[in-house]
Amino acid sequence: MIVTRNWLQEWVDIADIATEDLVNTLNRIGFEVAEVTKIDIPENVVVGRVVSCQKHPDADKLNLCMVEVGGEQLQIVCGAKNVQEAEYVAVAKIGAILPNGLEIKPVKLRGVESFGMICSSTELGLPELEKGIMILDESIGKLEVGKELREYEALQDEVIDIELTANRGDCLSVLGIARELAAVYGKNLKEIYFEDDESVKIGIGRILNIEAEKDTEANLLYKAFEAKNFSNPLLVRLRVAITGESFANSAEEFSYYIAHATGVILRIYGYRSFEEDQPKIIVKKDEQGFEAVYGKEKASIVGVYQFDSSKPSRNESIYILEASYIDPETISKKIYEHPHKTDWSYYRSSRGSEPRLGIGIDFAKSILSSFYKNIKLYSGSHEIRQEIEKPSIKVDFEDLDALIGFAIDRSEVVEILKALGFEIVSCSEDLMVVKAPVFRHDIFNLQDVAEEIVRIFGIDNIQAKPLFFAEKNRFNVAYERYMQTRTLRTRAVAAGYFESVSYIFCNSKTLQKYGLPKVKEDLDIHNPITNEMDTLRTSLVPNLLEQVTKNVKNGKKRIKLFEIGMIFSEQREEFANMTIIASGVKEPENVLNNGKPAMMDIVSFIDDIGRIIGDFSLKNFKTDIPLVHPYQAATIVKDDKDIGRVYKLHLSIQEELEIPDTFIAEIDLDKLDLHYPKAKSYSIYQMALRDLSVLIKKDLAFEEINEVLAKSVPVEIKRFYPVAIYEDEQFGDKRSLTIRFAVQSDEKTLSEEEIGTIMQKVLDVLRQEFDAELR
Amino acid sequence: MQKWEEQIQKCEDLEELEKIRIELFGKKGYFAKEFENLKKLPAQEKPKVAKKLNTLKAKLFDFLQHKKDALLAKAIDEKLQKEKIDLSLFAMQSQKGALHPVRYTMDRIIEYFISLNYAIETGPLVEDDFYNFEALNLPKHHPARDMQDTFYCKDGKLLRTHTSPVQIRTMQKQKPPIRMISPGEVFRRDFDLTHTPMFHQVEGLVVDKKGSISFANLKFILEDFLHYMFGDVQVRFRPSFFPFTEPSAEVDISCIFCEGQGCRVCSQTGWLEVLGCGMVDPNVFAAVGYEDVSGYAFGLGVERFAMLIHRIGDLRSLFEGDLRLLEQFK
Repeated sequence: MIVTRNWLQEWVDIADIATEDLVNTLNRIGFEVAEVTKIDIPENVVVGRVVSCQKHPDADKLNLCMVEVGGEQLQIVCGAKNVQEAEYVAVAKIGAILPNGLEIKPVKLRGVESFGMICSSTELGLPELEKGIMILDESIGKLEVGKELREYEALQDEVIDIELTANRGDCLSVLGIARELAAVYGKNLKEIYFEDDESVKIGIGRILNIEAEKDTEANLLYKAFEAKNFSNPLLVRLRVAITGESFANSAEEFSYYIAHATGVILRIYGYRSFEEDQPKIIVKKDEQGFEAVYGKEKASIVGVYQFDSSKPSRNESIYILEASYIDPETISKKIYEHPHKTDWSYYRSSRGSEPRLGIGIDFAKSILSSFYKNIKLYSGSHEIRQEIEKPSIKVDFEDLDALIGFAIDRSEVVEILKALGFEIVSCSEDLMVVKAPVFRHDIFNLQDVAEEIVRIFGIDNIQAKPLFFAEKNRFNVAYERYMQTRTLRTRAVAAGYFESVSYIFCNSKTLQKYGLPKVKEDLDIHNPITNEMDTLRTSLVPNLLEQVTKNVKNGKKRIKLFEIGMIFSEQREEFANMTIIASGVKEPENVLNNGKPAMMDIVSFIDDIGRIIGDFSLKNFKTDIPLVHPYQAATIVKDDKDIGRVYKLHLSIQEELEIPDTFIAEIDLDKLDLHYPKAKSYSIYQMALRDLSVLIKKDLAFEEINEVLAKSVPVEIKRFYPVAIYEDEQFGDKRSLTIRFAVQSDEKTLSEEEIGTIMQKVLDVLRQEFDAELR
Repeated sequence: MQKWEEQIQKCEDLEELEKIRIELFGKKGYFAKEFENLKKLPAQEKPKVAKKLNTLKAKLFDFLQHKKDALLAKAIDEKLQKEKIDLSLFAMQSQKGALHPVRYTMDRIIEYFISLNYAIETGPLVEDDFYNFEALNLPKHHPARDMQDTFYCKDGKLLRTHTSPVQIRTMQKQKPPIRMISPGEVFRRDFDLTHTPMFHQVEGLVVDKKGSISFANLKFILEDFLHYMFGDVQVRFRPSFFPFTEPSAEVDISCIFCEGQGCRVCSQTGWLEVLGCGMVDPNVFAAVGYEDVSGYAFGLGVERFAMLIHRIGDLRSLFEGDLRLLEQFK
């Protein structure tokens, strides 16, 4: 919502209030000021009158003008098409410095000297009004040749841009903002008085009748006037442009101006859009149930849209002025059910426009009779009117104090509400009954009333108080989850990984290429923001791979990232996932590695994963997913649960992305439980370590040996793990595998002989099950 | 005597010194011999010579011990020198990673509220219209409900546009008193310099019986919280509008860059908007079937906090896993 100081001044006297004070006050009472900009016409720009205007002798597109600027006439060469004799114009004299930095100096244009410049609105730092120069008129004040333009108040203004909240439709007007300022500063709001010109004898009924259905939901008020060559004065056009709007049709521009000033939605129809024979306005519901206005054809939908055919044409002579109001909830529901093209009026009607239509009509009449030439107003009006009844709201003072947490003086409460236009229906010691003014569409209950009081009283004046609360333990599943996630994140950071956050979307083609699942089509995003992010992610991997690729392009050699976030199943269920990715070199370049650190490998990567999630085991898996290296991929098993997978990125994808060797671990956080384990009893006797080297089939995975040994070795084998593999041609289809066994009894220290027996049993198992032979 | 002293003095080697020691004090050494000779002396001379000999022995022993200490110290010193390393070569970047600044900021926020015994609550990202809008006093035709801003799924569900639906879900599941925050991702269909389609919010809700929770309480907690997050700043409440609270306010802090003088970051206003809050609207309580209760709610954008606190200029860079940014937080 845009207002200016001078515009506000027309409704409330703020001459004694500095703009800074005004801005602070507006912020304080709930109107956030986004920006204040000054309209500042430079010095040495004066009112000039074009005395003569001829074609430049040497250039078709230039004019040679003599311009009177007070006490002297200047010869000025001007390129604008709309320069005309006798017009008043803005003249930048020699020495003026325009907002774009241009300094006016005497110049020769095609051999003719020019001593100044006739300016357009944009050259003076104003919004664009028309092509060519700005023609001045008396809407900005009495035009005196030679007078500095900056001395005209209308051109020396401050524009205040307010970010209005959706509930305050009543403040979508200069009058609305002025009303709030009047309330808070204790000033009077100026009233508009207008009386019909006694000389006008013709009443509106002589030219137009009205016909309306009984159950019309809109309020409408009609007035008519005659005009020739209807065009808007400079002040109106300038202010409309300042609000950021522009209109091709002058009559519509005028009605917008009145709406912006008063909040009343105004439309102007050309008389020609009504039947010639018995012209009448017909108000009835259209086929979709909108309140519509008809002439020869549909002219407008109340609060929604005016059809071009009903707008006055250039040579129109009779204009029909319509002020309208429709309940904001009614119209916004209607538009939700039946979407329809809307114009500027809908923004106002849906948020609640001014229902007191007379204000808009009277203001329009007063503007028409002060600034417009050859206007003839018809007397009388047509009206369709429903009473707007506001609910009575009970305000229990005790409830009010408890809600605010601060007792505001009763009389102050009453004063604030009165100043805002509330009706105090009754008031006793403990209870008050109030009614909101008709133009407030956002007041229904005690809390709404409390807000009004808090706003004007000032939140700054309410003392903050600590809350006393009945305590209970608030640990829950979400808390446990959060703390576990935090532990994982901290460990990942300690293991050298950077936490990343990416969007919850990814590209469906990428998912397909990687062989990852996709959310079922009928559950997926309907309105993606870009094609690149057209589906909900089913894995964190695609986004992380994209980030790795970008980092490689940025020259990063060592890329270690992790992300914890939600992913979706094909059925769109949500699962918490942690994905860890490492690409490039293993460690930073330094003196120890001569600046040539080794590349990351799957073993180092698995070691990193252990630092993050603790002990786990791995089961190889064969896969044909295009994303996964078929021979370096394993399921991560922790506490007997498959919690995720670790693998090397498939070489073909690696090559396509132009990134170095890349390793990925995906962990399902819903299955991971970082509980603090229970202690087991342990043997106090000495432990012996024995290595067993056997020749065993090459393609036999250790996990198979592991599984068999775990079941069949003697109890004294506390632990065993592979420590060496050795391949050689002489072994044929076998390889040498060395397993280290920790041998320990719970009852005694074992003798060499006893250990020998135990190891023999182990060897027997390996021989029988896997055809292994001692090397 | 003089000869021995010179010899010890000149010795620069521990092994050599040991030889001298044996020559002097060994079983067959100088003093052993001298004491042996003592036996041959007449009885009355013995004590005198013996005393002299003992004095000499003690003196030489001391002298040798001294020398030995000195040589030992020298040897250690040499060893130390050999182990000399230019440690400044290794004052390099650590191998540690770093938490994401947004998630780290979220941790800080959560810590504050946990310390005040707020529960953490979570909810689904894919939500129903009811929880995201309707129950929050945002009926379908409401002008504040900008359809353009919402991601919809083809089955009519939507990606939550704020963390507020968790309020509704929590109120439905539990009974007052409630004191909770809900941190998490939210989604808006907006992508430019200052908007990303996903960002993070932390929502807070406190509900207890009617009359027990006031706007003054809300003001207290938010002032305290903002001082915890931003240090010694001024806090300003501006009345505002949210469909789910009444009265509502937006909360500003004095600009931490220019200390309220006006700069580019605060658009010359001297203030930075950081929070929205208010007293829970009776329509919201009605939607979850609560009667005779009062409560306050607040919500904040975590990215905004992170960017202000850690001086991050570009919002979008937060979602790109860009190590040029992330490595700065090690």
